[in-house]
Amino acid sequence: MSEQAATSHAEPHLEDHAEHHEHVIVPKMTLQLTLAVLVFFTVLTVLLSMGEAWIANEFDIVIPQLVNVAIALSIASIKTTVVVMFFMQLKYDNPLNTMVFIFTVLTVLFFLGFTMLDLGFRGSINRFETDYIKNGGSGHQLSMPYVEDVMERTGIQIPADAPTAMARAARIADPDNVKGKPGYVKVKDLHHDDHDHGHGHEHSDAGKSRPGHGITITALKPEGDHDGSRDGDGHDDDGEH
Amino acid sequence: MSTISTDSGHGGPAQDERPYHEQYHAAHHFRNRDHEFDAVKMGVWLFLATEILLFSGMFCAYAVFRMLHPEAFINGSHYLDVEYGLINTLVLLLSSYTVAAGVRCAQVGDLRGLKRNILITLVCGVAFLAIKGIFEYGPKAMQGKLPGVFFSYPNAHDPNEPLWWGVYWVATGIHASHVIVGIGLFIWLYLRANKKHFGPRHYTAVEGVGLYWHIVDIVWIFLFPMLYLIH
Repeated sequence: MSEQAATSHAEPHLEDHAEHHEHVIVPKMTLQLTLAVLVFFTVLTVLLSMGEAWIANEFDIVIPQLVNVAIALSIASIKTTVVVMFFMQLKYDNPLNTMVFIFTVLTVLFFLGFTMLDLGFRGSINRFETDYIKNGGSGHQLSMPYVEDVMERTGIQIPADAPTAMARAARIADPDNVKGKPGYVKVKDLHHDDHDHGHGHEHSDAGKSRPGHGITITALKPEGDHDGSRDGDGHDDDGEH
Repeated sequence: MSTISTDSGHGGPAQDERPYHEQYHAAHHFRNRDHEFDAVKMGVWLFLATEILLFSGMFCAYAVFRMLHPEAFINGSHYLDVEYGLINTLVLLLSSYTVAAGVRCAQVGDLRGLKRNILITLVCGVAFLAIKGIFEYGPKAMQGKLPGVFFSYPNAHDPNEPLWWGVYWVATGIHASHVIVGIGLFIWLYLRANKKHFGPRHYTAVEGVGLYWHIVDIVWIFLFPMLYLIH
């Protein structure tokens, strides 16, 4: 090392030689090949996702979510590995940087893994512990500014409910909600989202929604199990997408 | 005052005519430029580690909410257009390639190639934001597909869809803000490349910004299937 320090005053070329001993210049071909591999896997994952939707609609075979998720995330992991190795040059770099990256990924997996273990299997030893999982997040306690605004303008009382129900009620109470206009919501649609998933949602863009089995593994059942109640919607909109 | 002193910085009579990257010396607390380069690069990697952990919080939220409310998230992904997600993925992949190619250009001393690659990356970053803003954020905000208290979309299927929109807006929003920062960094790189600051002997900034941009790309590589593809 002391020789290197000494050469730093010498000719630029000599210094160059001494200093840049480990900077690898990645061949252009390698970079182009990396890009090609990334594009290939991107198209592949989109095609697999479309294929899954097609199989579900055509043959009425719903592939379990877990398979779907595993395939998509595996492809994303492969793409990430390729980016990190060749674009970010970890393959040619100081191994210490690779250690930093790998330990970060392990930390993330630790976070995710233990959260999922807790959420998925909490009730599998002592059944009663499932009750400690609160579904929450539906926003029942929220007071929404536009709801208050609509109530004030129209004088119609909109019950405090889930944001989705409030949004629907507010739309119905809105003077702009006229039959024939885009975004028209029928009065009978009110509160549909809570219990009845069968009909009356022709305006929603989530046309191809299918009954969700989710990746929930054991004990946990979301309140109000909707399984199978929306098959009809799934078939109506085959043409879309 | 004099033209000489503004150029060399030291005001010495013997002015070095070589370009910046040729006469660049490492900061005095480093043994040499290579030592400095490695230290900077490791610093960037440690920063990227914190970035990955930042986004892992959002991935965790996605996983938890998806397990609790699978229906809302299945509906949610159907609200998004795969085409725009796919186009944006390809745009970011291309920009990642041009960044890597730009680093290579700096290493072999091809300054014109470096500037061209930085420009293409810049355009890709702006295109990404434009596609996201015009075709996704704009219409969704207009329809009231917004998180939490701002939600006003009347045709939701599932009472928990505002949660989905929360994850969608926060995750893609923080990612988009990283893209904006990246665009600023590339403008800075371009201005410096214009002044011939980079060459085979000094391209630390190109390498560091490049690594940052690749991480932004990697985050999108995960966000794309999570939000658009998993039905």
